[in-house]
Amino acid sequence: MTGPEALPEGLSVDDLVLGDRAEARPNQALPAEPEHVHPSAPQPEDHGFGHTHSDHHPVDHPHETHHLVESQPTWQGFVDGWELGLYRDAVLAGALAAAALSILGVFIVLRRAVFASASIGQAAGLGVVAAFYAGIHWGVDVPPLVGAFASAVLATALLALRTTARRLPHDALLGFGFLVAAAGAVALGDRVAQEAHEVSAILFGTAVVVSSFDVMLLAGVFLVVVLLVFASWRGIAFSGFDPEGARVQQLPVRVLDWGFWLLVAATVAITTRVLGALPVFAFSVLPPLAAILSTRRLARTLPVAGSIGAVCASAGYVAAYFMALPVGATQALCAALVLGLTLLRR
Amino acid sequence: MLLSAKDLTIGYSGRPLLGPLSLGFEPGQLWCVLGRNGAGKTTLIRTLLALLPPLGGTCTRAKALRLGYLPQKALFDELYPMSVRDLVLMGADRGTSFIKRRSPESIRRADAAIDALELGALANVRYRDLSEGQKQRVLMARLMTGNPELAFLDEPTTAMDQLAEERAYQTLACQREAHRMTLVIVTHDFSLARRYADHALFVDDAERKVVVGSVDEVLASEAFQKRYAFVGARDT
Repeated sequence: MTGPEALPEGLSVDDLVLGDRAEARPNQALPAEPEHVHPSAPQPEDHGFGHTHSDHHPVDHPHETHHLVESQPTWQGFVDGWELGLYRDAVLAGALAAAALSILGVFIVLRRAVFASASIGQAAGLGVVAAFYAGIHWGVDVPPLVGAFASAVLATALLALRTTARRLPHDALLGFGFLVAAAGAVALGDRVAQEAHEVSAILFGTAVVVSSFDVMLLAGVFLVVVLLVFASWRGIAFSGFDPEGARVQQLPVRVLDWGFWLLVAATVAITTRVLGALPVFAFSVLPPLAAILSTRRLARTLPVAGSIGAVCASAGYVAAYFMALPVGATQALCAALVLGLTLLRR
Repeated sequence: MLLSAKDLTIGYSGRPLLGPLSLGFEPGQLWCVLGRNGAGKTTLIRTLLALLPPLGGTCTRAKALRLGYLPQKALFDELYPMSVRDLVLMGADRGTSFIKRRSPESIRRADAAIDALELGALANVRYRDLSEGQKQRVLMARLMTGNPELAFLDEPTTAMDQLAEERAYQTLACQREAHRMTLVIVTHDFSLARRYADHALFVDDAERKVVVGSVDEVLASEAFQKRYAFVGARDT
């Protein structure tokens, strides 16, 4: 079974996409309009186990996309969906995003800024919701990706403020940023009920199928991250490990810091829109931590972290398909399992 | 002149600690910075390194001056997966050179520094697994790898055993001779100052002034003698 012609009548691969294009919104694309999912009050059945609930979105679980083709999650069904491009693109997108986030996450973890990525992810989610809000209520067409990026960059700039000058501990500022972004996304999301599922997907990571545009975008993000990190990892490491020593040796510490955080903001903004805030946070923390704990040299930590992230994203997707679990949460749990095994090995 | 200070006033948050003072460092000199804890020695060298802004006066550096710094207490995050050799090689990164592959010359210098400070057996050990004295030797090897023209070392041997300390000072003296490196070392060990240094700088916290001159002049100065009269007979 190959090609979109294998889909039910009137449905194309692009129709199944969770994307930012106006014509490819999930609630427009799916065969049946889902019932309202309130983003501020996510119920277990909204993102939880089982696939017989009638009140959750059919694409929260990969095999439910497959419901469109077959009824039970089987290997054959998965292979068919893979050949069709549905699962292949989603797995590839997850793997690329997870690898990029995990490579950057090594420096995020080493800089003790784990909650920075959570705050930036939440801010990106708020940006997407704000873009929907602007479109629905003000008639201003802001692409969600632009909203996510602008919001993530703004959050990055705020988090990079010299907190001592403001008499605020840095962790308090991170907590403030996270809470404002999370609460803002939920509150604003309440006003864009038409996009409730997309808002929910962004906040909790329930995206299952992705467009080929998203795959290309994530491949580009991965490539940029790998190239920039490959070119400057020694400088980023030095300026994080010993900022004063780096300044004495005339490294451009500020440029490296800002460049790094802008790269994090862009990566988190793009991946949050495709994967959701939860898996983005998980991939930027758990695989890097597992890699840091299991390697002796930073030069090896980076590729190991990227590989763990990619494997966890893929394995998490497959597990979610067969176990009828939400994708984002299952991918995060896979990464947590790898970290747990790493800790046990030590 | 590699680096000179004119009417320099140092301090924190607008509160002057020392100064104004004027001094200059020439190639190949070895300076000792003496003074009691909290007198302002670290603040002085951090100001000279431009890590702290001066409250008054100016610091002038030679163009493209290669500086080195070994901090008093390197509170590096031990989470970093970093071998001894990786950390020593960090000394070779200067400006934007981290973009390029390291030159064979800088790798050779790192290996030579590792050998000179007897770190060969520890080269692949994680930095976090070392003792404090070993860590100080690693940081000294990193400093030497950078081949600085002017290096500031803030109490660089406090955690080392006697043998390692002697070896470290000998290595620094050799480095100074071979490369006309200028060293500025903060120490409380007057005998080492006498043996290795040719210039000294005494920070007098009581009078809030600085005495600058040859080691003999500074150790014989009234300010120094007044402060250290009780150890004078034994150590100076």
